[in-house]
Amino acid sequence: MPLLDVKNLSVNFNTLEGTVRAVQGVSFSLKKREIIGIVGESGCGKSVTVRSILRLIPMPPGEISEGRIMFNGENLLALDQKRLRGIRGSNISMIFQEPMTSLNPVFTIGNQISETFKVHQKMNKQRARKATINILEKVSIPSPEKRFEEYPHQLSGGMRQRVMIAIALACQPKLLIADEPTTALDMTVQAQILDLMLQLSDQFDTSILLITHDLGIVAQTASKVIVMYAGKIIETGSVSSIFKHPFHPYTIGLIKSLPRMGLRSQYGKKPLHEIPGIVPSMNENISGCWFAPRCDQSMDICRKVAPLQKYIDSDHSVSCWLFN
Amino acid sequence: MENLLQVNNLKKYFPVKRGVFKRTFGHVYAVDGVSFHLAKGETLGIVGESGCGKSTTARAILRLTEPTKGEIYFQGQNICKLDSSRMKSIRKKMQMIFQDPYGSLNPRMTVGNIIGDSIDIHKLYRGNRKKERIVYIMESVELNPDQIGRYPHQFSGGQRQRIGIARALATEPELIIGDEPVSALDVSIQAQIINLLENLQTRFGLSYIIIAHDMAVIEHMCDRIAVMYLGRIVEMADFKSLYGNPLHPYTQALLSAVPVIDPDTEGKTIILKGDVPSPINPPPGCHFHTRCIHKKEECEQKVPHLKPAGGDHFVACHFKHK
Ligand SMILES: Nc1ncnc2c1ncn2[C@@H]1O[C@H](COP(=O)(O)OP(=O)(O)OP(=O)(O)O)[C@@H](O)[C@H]1O
Ligand SMILES: Nc1ncnc2c1ncn2[C@@H]1O[C@H](COP(=O)(O)OP(=O)(O)OP(=O)(O)O)[C@@H](O)[C@H]1O
Ligand SMILES: [Mg+2]
Ligand SMILES: [Mg+2]
Repeated sequence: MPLLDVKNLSVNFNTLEGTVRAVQGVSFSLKKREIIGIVGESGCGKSVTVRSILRLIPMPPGEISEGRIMFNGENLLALDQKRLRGIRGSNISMIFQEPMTSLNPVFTIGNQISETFKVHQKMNKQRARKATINILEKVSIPSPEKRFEEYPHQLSGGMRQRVMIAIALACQPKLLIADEPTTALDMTVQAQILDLMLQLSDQFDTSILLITHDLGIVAQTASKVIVMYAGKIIETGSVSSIFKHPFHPYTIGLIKSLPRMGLRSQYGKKPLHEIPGIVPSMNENISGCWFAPRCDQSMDICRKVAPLQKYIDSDHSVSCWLFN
Repeated sequence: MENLLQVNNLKKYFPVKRGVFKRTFGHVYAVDGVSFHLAKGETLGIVGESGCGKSTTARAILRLTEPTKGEIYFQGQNICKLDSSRMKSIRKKMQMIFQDPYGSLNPRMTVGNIIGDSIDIHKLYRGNRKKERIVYIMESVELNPDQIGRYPHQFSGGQRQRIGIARALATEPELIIGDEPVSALDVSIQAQIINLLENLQTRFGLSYIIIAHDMAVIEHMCDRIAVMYLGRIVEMADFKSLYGNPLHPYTQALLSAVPVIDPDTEGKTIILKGDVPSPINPPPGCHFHTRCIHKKEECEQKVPHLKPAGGDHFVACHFKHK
């Protein structure tokens, strides 16, 4: 049984400009200890997808119109808010791009981490303090005793993100959802944070759903990739299969359009591959494949009927008429 | 090659004020003695951790912020000495484009007016000729001239960046400084804008300074690269030497931290400890010594200067670690 099984999830936002179909029939599952990367253009529904797991989307205007989210054998969408809060924080942790929004500005760092130890591991005050200093050290926060007394705004962005990971470590969650956890950070700090997340997964068998726009991060940390475009999953597969043999014209274009280190030194300067056009607006009503208007291989049927997901082999699927 | 720009020992310190009397009790050493040159038609990249002084360097070159010290020669002329009216005529030759084009575009002006205003600085085109010029510039950045009457919010992020580029081009500049010009864009749009910038460079003989944090983008676009750390250039080299043979331990860590998209490449990432120290009280000696894995006693005391390391390669490290 997978740890997390998302089936046919659809999420709409009812806005003045019409219905935004942010997520349209998304299905995927995540095994214990597995790390899945979700990639795709801005606005394609990555955050809405993972936030739906804990129902962290504003309703209204949001509405989960369809779907089932099984976690550990329980349908999260059927749980009441109280049970859901229990699962959040103990079994599922989340870290966001801007950690400031998830840290409480009026409590010290030490207070917030030790609270987690007290609640989830039933420690008394003294033991929780010790454990907190321990864990701050583990996430490479210098002079942890001093930092224990400090407030979130006194830390740098990288340190705040490490505090969020420390809190996640304190929970020892089964699932960690990380939404662009390193986007706001410097390259060298990003490397530290990713390294910490991998350690977390190693030590506690934590599964990770990692959203990032950086294909390099996915290649280096995840075992599976989900590629989304305009609210739908258009291709999924193992990291090696997707990066070596991408099938969907969007995935192919995406990988080709990236400048890669070393290429210029080796082969000289060439213009980058371009995917023409722009991403469709999500309140448009497109009947066929949403990528068709930008696709250099589109056929008549692509503009009329949406393609279904098709498995090329056991762990690689694609939604594209070229393969149907 | 003739140098379009020569920057000598540029410094910019911001006073830190505190208390009721706003007494200065220290300085942010944002840019602390930076020197480099830029040849005509060349692209120089500036990389480095957040807060290391990249944007301040760029703003000081345009004198959008007054340098504390140093000389800036543009086309052979020391522009630090110019009065504001002479500076104004130089500034149209130096334009800037930004990460967030939306924040720098007036939301109440149409694209046509935004570009038109920029053309007016020149006072070269009037009436119909000006209109023709606007259309020409829109076409140059691959915007549809039919959309001349639209407002910034009616465009996508990538198209807005094209408007920002169009506005910069309108004054017929020699130098364009791009401060993270593609960082906010999606991968598929990023490639379009990078290609556009490169085409414009060839077509109009532009020189570029590109600030970016994506090391692959920098390698693709830049002929030479300056790596900054806490207000100083720690390494400068042509792209081949910098990527093929980085000498400074910080550059080595930076390059090793770039996640490559080939899943078979085993990451041998150098994980640096800790954070960048505050630029208010930067550590003595080599600024990088607090995080350097090769640190020796000398590094805590003596400031390493940028010295030649063969060819077009310069490094500021007492030990030039390989
Ligand atoms: N509260 C909301 N009200 C209306 N529309 C929303 C709301 N939240 C999200 N959306 C829309 O849902 C779509 C998906 O948004 P989502 O945040 O999931 O994108 P994303 O893939 O995470 O993008 P990014 O990479 O920019 O974070 C977008 O078109 C967005 O405008
Ligand atoms: N107007 C100002 N007053 C005081 N300090 C400033 C001012 N502008 C910049 N600084 C400080 O100068 C230092 C360098 O800032 P700068 O914006 O040049 O960094 P950067 O390298 O562009 O960083 P980033 O990658 O985050 O854009 C920072 O410590 C910053 O806080
Ligand atoms: Mg998002
Ligand atoms: Mg900056």
